[in-house]
Amino acid sequence: MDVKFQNVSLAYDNVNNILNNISFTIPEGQLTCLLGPSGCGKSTTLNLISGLLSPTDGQIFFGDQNVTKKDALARKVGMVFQNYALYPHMTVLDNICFPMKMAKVKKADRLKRGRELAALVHVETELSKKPSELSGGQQQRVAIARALAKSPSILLLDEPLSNLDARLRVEMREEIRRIQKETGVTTVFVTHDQEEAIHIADQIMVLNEGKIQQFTTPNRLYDQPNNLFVAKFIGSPIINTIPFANVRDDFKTVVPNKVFSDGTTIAIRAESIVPATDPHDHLTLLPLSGTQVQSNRFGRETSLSLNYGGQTIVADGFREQDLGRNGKPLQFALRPQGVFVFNQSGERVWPETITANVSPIKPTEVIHA
Amino acid sequence: MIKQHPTIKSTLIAFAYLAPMLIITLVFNIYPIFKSFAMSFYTKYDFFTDKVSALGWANYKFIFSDPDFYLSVRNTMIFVLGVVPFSVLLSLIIALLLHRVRFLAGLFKTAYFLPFVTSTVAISLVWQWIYNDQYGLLNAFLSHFGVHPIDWLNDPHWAMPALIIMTIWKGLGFNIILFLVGLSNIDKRYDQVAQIDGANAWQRFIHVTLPLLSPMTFLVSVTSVISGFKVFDEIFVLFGGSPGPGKSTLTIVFYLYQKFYSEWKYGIAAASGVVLFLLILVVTIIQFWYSRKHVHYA
Repeated sequence: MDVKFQNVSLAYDNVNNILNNISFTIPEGQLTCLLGPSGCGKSTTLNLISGLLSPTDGQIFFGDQNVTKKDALARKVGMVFQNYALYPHMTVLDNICFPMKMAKVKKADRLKRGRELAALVHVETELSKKPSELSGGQQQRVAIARALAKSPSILLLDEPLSNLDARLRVEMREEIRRIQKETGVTTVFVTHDQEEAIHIADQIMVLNEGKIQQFTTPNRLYDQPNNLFVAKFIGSPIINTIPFANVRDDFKTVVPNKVFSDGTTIAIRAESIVPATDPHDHLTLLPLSGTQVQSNRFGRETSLSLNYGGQTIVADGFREQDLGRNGKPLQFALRPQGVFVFNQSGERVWPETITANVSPIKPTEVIHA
Repeated sequence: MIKQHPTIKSTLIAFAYLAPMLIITLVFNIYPIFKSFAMSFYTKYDFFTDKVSALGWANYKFIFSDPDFYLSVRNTMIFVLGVVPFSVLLSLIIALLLHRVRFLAGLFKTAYFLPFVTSTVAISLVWQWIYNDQYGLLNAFLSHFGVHPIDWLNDPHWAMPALIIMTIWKGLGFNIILFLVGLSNIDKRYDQVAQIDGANAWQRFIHVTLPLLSPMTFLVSVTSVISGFKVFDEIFVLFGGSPGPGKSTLTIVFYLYQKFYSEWKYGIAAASGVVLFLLILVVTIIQFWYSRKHVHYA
């Protein structure tokens, strides 16, 4: 079932708007991420979908049905909390079967379905254990199985991976994606981790200060950020930003006159800064020069700090043999992708439209180009 | 410092730190316990010279052929069965209400806790008035329902109920506080999840709150049972130093007290004390055995 918000606002005391007149449609059968820094309104949005909160203004639809006034139970949502909230006194199987027990499903039927769900999330060997005997990842799996047990119209996951260590987080995000694809249940996933969102989601809604910044696929978000907030929030290392006034003369030949006068900030992805002499790269936008500040190698990554336009910017499109000495001038070039100009209010003014067939550039591809 | 191996010196230092408490415990707890065990076998004993002339089972033989002792065991059982279930249930209900009602919760908590900090003597005086057959509050209240005045404190049939009611009232406050602590330790999220899982308020109580509260329920039951078996001062004050009309509230500890202080039969008093100890032990073991299956420690 798709979820539609129509002009939804939420204010706690009629003064502070947590959510400000937002409208969107979460498509059916897909995995959608709500992404943003803490306090941006993403958990509030999730609680509005679940029915644990009701909006001060606006309408919420599940499919054609207006559910604005309905509570969590009537909306039939499945929810997974950050700390899993498994019932500590019940076994894994009892935990999974609990929603069905409450819905008065016959015992034999619910045990059968419970076992199927346990198999789906790969905890079928732990059925008689108590939650405290499970690892964090296993508890997460059980929580997902329990949320799926009542065949929810929508599955909601509130920062489900935050309590796991880094390796398990990567494993579990693949698992959540697999489970979502196998069951086809419309899933909404809240996170503050942009990398997690990019890896897991079919589309991402970036929220900040109670407003939707951009709602599109992960790659479009990376390749075509609508505004400076999205550009800075998505991608690691964080996109380089330079006051446009410092460097605008270098770009005179590339950008239109209006951008030349309106642009206030230029943002350049680290992988878009490549050696000027790279023989394999035919797609350079323009050659530039700066000063090499420092370089560090971290395994497969080489990170170069260089001074350009009065700012220290980070480049990871270099190999060690491309580098000069620290403190010496360095020639470099920009690739056409991953360079954006934003105006005073943070909106992207250049490039105006980006052709869809430009494939996203991954840092690794540039390194081996 | 952390991985220090125990040496003679460090052990002695540890004992020096432990000594003050250890000595007090040994002198006033451990020694009397063993002494009273031993005393229960003294059949010929001079209390003032501490001279034991004969040992044997005579004290036990005596109490097990004494109808008063059987009466005291029976009364104690009735008292425990009368007090503990109602006390636990009532304090759980009140705690649940107080946990939900935020309005004046502090005032209510204080009011319920007051009996616990008030001396038993003062409480008993008030209850003697409440139970008075002619001027008492309880009979005045019951008369509205057409109940004839009951002579609570002088009728052998009503003395035990009167004692039970007062004891429940007195212990309520402490049990409520314990239950409130238990309730506030339960993560609110379980309730939220259960709500999403489709459980109504009653189902949430039965399937979530009650199991998660079980360690505290267990604690309250065990302590209530133990203090129930040891009941004495409430009886002493409520019935003016007598074991109730017609020995109707003669309990084991009261029996022990009478043998020791009124009749100077130390051996018999000690023997009844040992029987009480064994009774409490057995009941507590049964409770622990039961708790293995039914108490969930998160």
